[in-house]
Amino acid sequence: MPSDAAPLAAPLMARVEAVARAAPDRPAFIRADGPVGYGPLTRQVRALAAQFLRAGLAPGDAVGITLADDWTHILCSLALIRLGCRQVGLPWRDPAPLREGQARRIGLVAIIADAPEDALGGAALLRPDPAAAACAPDAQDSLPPIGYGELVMATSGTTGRPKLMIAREPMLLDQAARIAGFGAVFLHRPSFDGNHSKRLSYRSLVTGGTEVLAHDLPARDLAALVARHGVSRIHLAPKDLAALPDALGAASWPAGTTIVTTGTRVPQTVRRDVQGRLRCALQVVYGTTEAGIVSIAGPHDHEDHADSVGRILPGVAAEALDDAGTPLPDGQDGLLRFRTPALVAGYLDDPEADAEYFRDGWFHPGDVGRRLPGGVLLVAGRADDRMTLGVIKIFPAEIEAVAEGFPGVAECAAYPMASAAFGDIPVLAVVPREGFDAAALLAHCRARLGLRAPRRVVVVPALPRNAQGKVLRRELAGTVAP
Amino acid sequence: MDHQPAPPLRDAAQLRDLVAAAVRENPVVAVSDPALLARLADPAADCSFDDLGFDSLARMELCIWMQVEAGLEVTESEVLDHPSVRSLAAHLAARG
Repeated sequence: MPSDAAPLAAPLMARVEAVARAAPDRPAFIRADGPVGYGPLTRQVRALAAQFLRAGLAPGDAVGITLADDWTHILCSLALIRLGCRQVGLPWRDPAPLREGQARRIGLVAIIADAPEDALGGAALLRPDPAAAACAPDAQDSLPPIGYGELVMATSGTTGRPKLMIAREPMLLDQAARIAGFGAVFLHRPSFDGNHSKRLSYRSLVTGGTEVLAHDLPARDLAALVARHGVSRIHLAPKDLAALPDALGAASWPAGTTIVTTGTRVPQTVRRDVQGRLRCALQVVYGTTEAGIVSIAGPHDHEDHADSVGRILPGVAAEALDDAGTPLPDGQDGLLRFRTPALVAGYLDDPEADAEYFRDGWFHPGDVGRRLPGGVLLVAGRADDRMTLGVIKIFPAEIEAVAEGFPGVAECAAYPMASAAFGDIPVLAVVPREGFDAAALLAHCRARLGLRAPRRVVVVPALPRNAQGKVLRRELAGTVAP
Repeated sequence: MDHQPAPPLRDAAQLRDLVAAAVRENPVVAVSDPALLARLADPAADCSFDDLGFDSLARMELCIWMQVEAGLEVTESEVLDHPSVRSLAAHLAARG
């Protein structure tokens, strides 16, 4: 694996400590009650690490975190990284049996929590005392050398049991400098209680950035908060992004704030709408949990091609393969594979999934796409979602790209209707809004897509989605009888 | 949704109307000749797919329409073997 072969960079917390020595007063976080500088932050992290050591934790131990308070969570997470522990978030909202299963699967020795009933799966309860850590003398001398932390991350996929993987520091800090380049003062939603959010915080800290902590806010209040703190970069989930222009109403969006979002496919209409109406730069990150960031589509990529996910980043290798597994020349569609500095080694005790997704040092996400000359990557969709009508291959995304933005279409998703004679007949599920006309939409699709057009429109009240917001096409095909 | 799938049909006259509708809705061949449209609309008249200008793609779309709009799976060879509106309807009625 490349990250094993590469010489190890300085540990994450050593880099944060270096910022603290150079600029102790620089705000690492801005909380509702005021800023927290790098100096005080790292001192509290060291004090918590000393608490954990005294409680019996040792470098390399696997530890769970179940905390309702985000700020305590941040400090504990950093303290575990400081010690060189492996950590996993076991959010409160997850049912206890799920958390217990994870605790056993990962072999947790302790769970950092406030309540004894959260110490599940045979792990010891470790109750942090952030108040004591805030006023404790500096614990620098009582701590072992700064370790390398690890984070256990899960991907749900659309079916089956979650796949777990160990993210080491190269993954935790993946593309930190590039992301900081979009703006050093940032905020993100949702909260810290998730691996994606955690990694954004780590990346900010090693680059000396400032994170504004915000809870869920209405769009206007969010805009006001962004303006008040001079936030230059904001991370939003695709769904929140799509809703933002309408939610703002007459309120203006602060100029000069870059919006960053993540997703295999953020519709081109949404990208254009957000950029046009908010007058801000939009960066759409494309990557996978396993391989990290592959490419970023910036303001100029959104117009070029509906499927563009931007230019492949330096240091990242991306190839499209033919059916025999041979790399294809530029311009030809095939199954994609990636090699990145952040690539994880594989899944935790799941050799079957390893054999499917990790082969020859590459990650094979199951996406189909092609490279263009100049290193631009186009992603057509997931191979699993590809429909075959007669001999024609059709991706839901190409249909959705034409239907999205059509008058009266709030949301849509294409899926197959099985036909013995023809294979997959493409059908389009639409969540309508005022002015929707199914016949006009079908004609619009037919004029633009020809044989690749959906043959029927089915109106639904909402699209079935998993917890990550991905549309469950199989569920559509199973329950929405046209 | 504006059209609901029709209940299973066995009646040849209803099936003839259905096939005629499938012809009129065909996205590949747009029938505009008034004489042909009149024959399509007349329950007593017949109309061959050749006269209508149907090619392979039009036949495929006819079959797809029959499945997605009426819930009837029809193959292209059935259309070739029963190459007019009335004969296809009669075939589907007999097939059940």
